[in-house]
Amino acid sequence: MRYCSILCRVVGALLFGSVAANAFAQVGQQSVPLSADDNAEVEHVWRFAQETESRSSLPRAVDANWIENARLGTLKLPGCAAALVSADGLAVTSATCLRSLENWIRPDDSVFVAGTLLEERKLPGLTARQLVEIREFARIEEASEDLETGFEAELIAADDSSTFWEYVWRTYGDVRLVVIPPADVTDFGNEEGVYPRYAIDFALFRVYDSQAQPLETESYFAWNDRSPYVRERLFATAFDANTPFTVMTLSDTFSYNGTISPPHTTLYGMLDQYYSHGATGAWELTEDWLSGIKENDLATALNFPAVGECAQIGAGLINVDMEILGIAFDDANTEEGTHCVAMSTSGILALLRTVLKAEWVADELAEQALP
Amino acid sequence: MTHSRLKGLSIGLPLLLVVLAGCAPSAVEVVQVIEQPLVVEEAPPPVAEPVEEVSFEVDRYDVDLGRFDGGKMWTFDNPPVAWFAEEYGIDADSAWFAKARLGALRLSSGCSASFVSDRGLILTNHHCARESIVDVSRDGESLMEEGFLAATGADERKVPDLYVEQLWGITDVTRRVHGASRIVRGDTERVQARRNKAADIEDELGAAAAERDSALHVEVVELYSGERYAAYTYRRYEDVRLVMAPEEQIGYFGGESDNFTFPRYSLDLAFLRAYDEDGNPAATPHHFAWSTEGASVGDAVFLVGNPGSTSRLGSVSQLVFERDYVLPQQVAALERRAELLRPFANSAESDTADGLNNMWFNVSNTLKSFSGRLAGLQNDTLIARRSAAEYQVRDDLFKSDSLSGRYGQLFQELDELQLSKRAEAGRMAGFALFGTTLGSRILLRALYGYYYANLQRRGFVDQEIITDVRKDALALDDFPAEVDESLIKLRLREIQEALGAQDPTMRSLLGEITIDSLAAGIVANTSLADSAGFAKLLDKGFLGSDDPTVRVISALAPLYFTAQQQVESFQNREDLLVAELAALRFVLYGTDVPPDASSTLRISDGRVGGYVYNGTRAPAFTTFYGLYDHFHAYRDVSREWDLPERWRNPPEAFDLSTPLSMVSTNDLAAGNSGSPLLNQNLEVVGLLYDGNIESLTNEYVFSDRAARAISVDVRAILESLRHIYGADRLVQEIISESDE
Repeated sequence: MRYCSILCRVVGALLFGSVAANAFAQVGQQSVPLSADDNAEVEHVWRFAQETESRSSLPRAVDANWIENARLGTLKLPGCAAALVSADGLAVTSATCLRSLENWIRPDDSVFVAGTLLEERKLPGLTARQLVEIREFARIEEASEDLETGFEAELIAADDSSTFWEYVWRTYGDVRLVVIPPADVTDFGNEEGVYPRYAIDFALFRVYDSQAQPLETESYFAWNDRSPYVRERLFATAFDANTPFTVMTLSDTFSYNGTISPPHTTLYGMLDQYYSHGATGAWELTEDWLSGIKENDLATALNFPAVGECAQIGAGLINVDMEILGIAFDDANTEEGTHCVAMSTSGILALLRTVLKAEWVADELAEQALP
Repeated sequence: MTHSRLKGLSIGLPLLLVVLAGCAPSAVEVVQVIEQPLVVEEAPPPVAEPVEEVSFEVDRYDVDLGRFDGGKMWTFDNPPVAWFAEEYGIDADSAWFAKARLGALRLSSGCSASFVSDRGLILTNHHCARESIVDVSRDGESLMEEGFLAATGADERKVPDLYVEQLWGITDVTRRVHGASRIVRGDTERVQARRNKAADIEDELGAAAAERDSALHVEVVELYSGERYAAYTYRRYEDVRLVMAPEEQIGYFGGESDNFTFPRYSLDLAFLRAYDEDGNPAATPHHFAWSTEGASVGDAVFLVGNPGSTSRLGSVSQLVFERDYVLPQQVAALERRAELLRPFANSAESDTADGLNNMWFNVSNTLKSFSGRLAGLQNDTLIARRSAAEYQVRDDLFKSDSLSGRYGQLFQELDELQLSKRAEAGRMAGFALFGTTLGSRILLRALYGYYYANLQRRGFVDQEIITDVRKDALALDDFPAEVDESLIKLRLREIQEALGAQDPTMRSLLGEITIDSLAAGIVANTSLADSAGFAKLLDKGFLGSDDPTVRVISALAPLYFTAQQQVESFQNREDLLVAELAALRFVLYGTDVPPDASSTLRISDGRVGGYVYNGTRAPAFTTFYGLYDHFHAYRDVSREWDLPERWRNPPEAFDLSTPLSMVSTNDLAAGNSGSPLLNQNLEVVGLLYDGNIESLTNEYVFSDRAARAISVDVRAILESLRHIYGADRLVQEIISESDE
């Protein structure tokens, strides 16, 4: 059995109104085993960036527990992924994923920064989903019939109907915008499929629980404030036709334009682009941003490439220690195949403290919880 | 443009010599030098290979011929006055062209340069001044690493043997030269008669000029392959001193990796000064003022320098041969060597590190250049353009009975010659890069030893040549034994593969043993691993010694030299045909099309502008911000983007947004390095130092779609002199006449 998207037949996303309260007590017990060196059944949750990579090359730390945590730390947005980055429900994604939701925008407003928790702005109509359980059974009748409010289930069958899987999703209908930079910096250069790249492409939002309180969660990725090492092993978890998968990749350079690509770009490079292109068109910056960027250590990393396609736009790039180092935001076509371009976490943290004036958000990322 | 040099190997050795010309945008000029054919008695007869019947006829593509497919390297003999007026709306009169001509310089090292003050100050590239910088370094100094700034005029250091030349005057001598050949029959004889006459005129005019002023020298230049001849009088400045050179780390920022690329961030500059006979700074009223404003996107800019040559004017069949045989063989051989050397690069023991690193750089850089050309030729549009142009020539040719009588067979003869070259190409494949410094030192020494012995045996060879061969042979650096052994194995395998398993040479050479054990045996027992051992053997008589390389080279060298002789004879024939083709073009199109570059002064027009690249747009300029972006970004990758200490924390006043490099659509070729880039007021706005990766295919057809000339922006030079180097004396001199 290979990826579900190829061999499995989705028999229908069966939505149940309620589920037995104890359904979640079983998370991790009846779930599909997710150990990397396990049998073929796990393959549908694994996909490798490079076919030559064998499973035995997986770092020891990446075990069943690691994978389950990576899945629980990952949120599914419409067409996108996002990564939880604090114990209080803060999540990060690509600006693209929220930009399209027009209804948070007030007239003439492409940027939003909440000054406090109370100022966070509701994103009506946006639901974030978290895959909390995958159950496997031999007969379709064994599927849960009732789900609690706030949960959805979906049933997937193997081609020969010998095996069924039930994916249980927790849904969050109260999602609030925390920070989205203005469009001229998230789309800096108006480039697509390109690396080297100099975009400030990210957005932060917070998931609230049914009591309208910031979601308390143990499954999140610690913010690591550094650029990846050259050839550092990174992982991205996302959803492919609702099926979770984890991609293993490498931050790396590649042949480019007669030379080698930079392993990451910096704020220096962004200003180089600004001035090189004559401060016009897609490379224009407002006076606020220009001076705000200059307040930073300009050597701060901005974007970096990882081998292969992005798992999904908005997916976190995680190291073996479960720390997030980047957010996937675009697939670049390069001389050495597709590379995923990611926004560096160090760049985000620096800009939150300076030009975005969102010190309290930066503090939360550093502390991994609300103060 | 690359600068790494392979020392030595520059005399009459019938080897394919790799000479990394200082100012070539192409990393390598493969120069074939032969003084006298070497008699090789023991050579086996060349094996006749079945010649595949191939037609070089190409389809008539529907291509719009570019007006400037042949390039824009205009001569000062026929300045493009009308074109400059039409395109740029400028009234470039003879005074304008004279000013452009007299401010420009040619360095004796082969680069270009210009006067930028009335006191003999010269601007050129760091990579053009490398040798000068090394030559004026004193004991304990490493000026390449540390940079150099003369605090006062007295501190400027004379560079031994370096001179600069200014194109003082041009006289058309075509009629005199052609007069001498009018009654000569036969193409070869006519060419020779013209060349003899040109040499006579050169002597005559040279003597007359020297009479007037001993600094004047005359060179008769052949244009349009002999359809035009001009006597160029140069004023030579023999006392040239180093004034300022930045550290190599910033002068060559980005190293070999960034060579031929843009966006780019190198401060590839050096200042020299010409002195007069009395030891005072030369008075140079003809010089270019410095534009402190620099250039803007869309500005007309003019490049004045001394480009070498291109391959734009040959036949399509020649290009096809280059695409199908020459370049693929070279690229494959380079790739194998790059793969072999990669693990050793930067990790060798210190006493062999330089040689290995040099070779690694040369291999990877030549590979970059050749791969770029090959990719260009493999792109159908390039061949299509050239085919369309060729059809145009053929059509025009056959409109005239006299022309079709004289040149009607020309293209067919060139096509047939390519077929003959094909037959030889298979056997030569195993010898790609053989006899160059891009291979085993042991085998190269053996080849030298073989050649040296043959020269001596022939007796009548000039003793000076023998001495030079010996000197060059002994100047070779050493490689670690394991590297040399791998290179020998690789070469033997290549030869075996090219000749076939049944070839008697390799069979008898190997006997019962394998290539691996043969190579191991050579390395274990040879005295050729270092120059000292080689010198002893040369004195004792290399071929008579029992060194294990003797047997090997005695088998391989005759094969190589025989094939090489064949290549030479093809080459001579091809040169003649290409000259006829150039003559035909001249008859048809006259001076509307510039002649191919000839290492003499040309002016090439263009505009400042970015281009589409890498899925986005490359800007027309880069800035110092980009320099620091690269410095920080590549730290864990390579030292090529490292910065000298004084650059790491620039002072507050240093403006990082200053334009650093700029690109423009000017035509360029090897030898243009160091050329001034001028605005229409003939103020210097840039200092040319390279072409981008897209410009590599301009070797075959000029295009300004994405091909760009790369210059250091004059504003970056001033900003650095002011705030990084504190070179106030120099700044004052430069801007004293500028618009600031």
